[in-house]
Amino acid sequence: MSHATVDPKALIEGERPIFNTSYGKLMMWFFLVSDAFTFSSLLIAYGSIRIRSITAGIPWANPEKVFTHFPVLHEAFHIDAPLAFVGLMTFILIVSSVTMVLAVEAGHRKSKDEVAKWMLWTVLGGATFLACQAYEWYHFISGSCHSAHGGAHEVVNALCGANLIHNEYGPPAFADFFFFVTGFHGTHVFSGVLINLIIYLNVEAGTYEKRGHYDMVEKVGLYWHFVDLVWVFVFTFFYLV
Amino acid sequence: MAHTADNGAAARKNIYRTTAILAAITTLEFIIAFGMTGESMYAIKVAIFVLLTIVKAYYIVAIFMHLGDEVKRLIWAIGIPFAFLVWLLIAMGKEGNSYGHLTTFKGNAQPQAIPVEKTHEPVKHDEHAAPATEEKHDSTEHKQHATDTIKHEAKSEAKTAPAKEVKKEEAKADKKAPEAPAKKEAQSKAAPAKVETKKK
Repeated sequence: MSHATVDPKALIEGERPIFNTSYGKLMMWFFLVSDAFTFSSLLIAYGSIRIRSITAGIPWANPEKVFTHFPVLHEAFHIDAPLAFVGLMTFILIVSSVTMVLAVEAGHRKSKDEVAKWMLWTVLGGATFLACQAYEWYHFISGSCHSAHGGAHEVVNALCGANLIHNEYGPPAFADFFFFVTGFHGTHVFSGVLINLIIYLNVEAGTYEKRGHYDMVEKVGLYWHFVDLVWVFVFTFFYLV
Repeated sequence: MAHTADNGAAARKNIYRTTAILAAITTLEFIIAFGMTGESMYAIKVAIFVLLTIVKAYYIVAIFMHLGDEVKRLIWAIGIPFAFLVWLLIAMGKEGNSYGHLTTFKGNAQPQAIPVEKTHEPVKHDEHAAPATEEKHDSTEHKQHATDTIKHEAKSEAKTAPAKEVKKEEAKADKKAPEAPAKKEAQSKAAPAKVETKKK
């Protein structure tokens, strides 16, 4: 494939593009590298603590038995669907990544209506993902005691649900890492949705049409794909392994 | 920046192809997660997951983020820093393992790791052992007690070991059990003999 060409209008006057890309995109790439290191550190710390726990003879939580709630299936039929909801969330985020790349592609052709359409779908996808995460957090925190026996306080002193100090699923560190890793990722998704929304409104207002290029959509696109990329790793190392 | 209508169609085709690949890999991961069960398969399972995740990451970065279209020096500038992660992964893995060993042997781990009986039982045994050496008729009872203690110790050790090794540990404990009391007996007989010689 031929190298992507930089829109001359996206360059600062007199700039010599050593990386053959605009300043904004380059800086976004380097920000993402640093952010990737933050997420890597979190996931490696998770791995380290998990190895420690298993070596010391303390069994780690089994994600297949923790994340079994699926909307409607759980509430109406009491059916357990291990990891199915997480799989759906992964799929939603990948699809929103696809709509984002379609918006970027439409931006290359300077097709304002198409960019707006795909940006809106991306915002909706991100918001849906956040709603799914809220559902998952709710069930992780409230735990299995409510649904299993009807009464919330049937067994005295039994651990029910999870917080930062205790959880019913395994070592306390499991819940801590769950809150921190998915929470940190969720914060990224949340800010991504907000930024996407701003870009969508700008597209509709014709800001980039006047500017003559859709470089801003590409920059935000990089961020949004990165969020999807991180989720791919979180999905594997937190839920599957 | 001359994107013709045809050019755009080709780009879109590439996007949809990548989407299909990503969806297929995710589905495959699910099949593996529930198809490959059992302890012996775990290492292979993890290796497959890591490999598939890297493949997914490659497609997202190269196609969706268009890094594949950038100049080579940008690709290297972004890619090379991640080599440090290999070191971090190995270092923290070893660190976690070492910390796990330390907390097990010193008895600082959580209650389920080391049963309370283990610390109390040998103390009782010692208390019994002292009078047993003085009164010889008590030796048979002491023998029985010693066997129980050793079996118990072996089992409590097995509890702390990973699930795989539990059966082996138990098997070992059963084999060792008849030999061990004999040794203990020999020691308990030898001990008063020494004491006597010293007294004399």
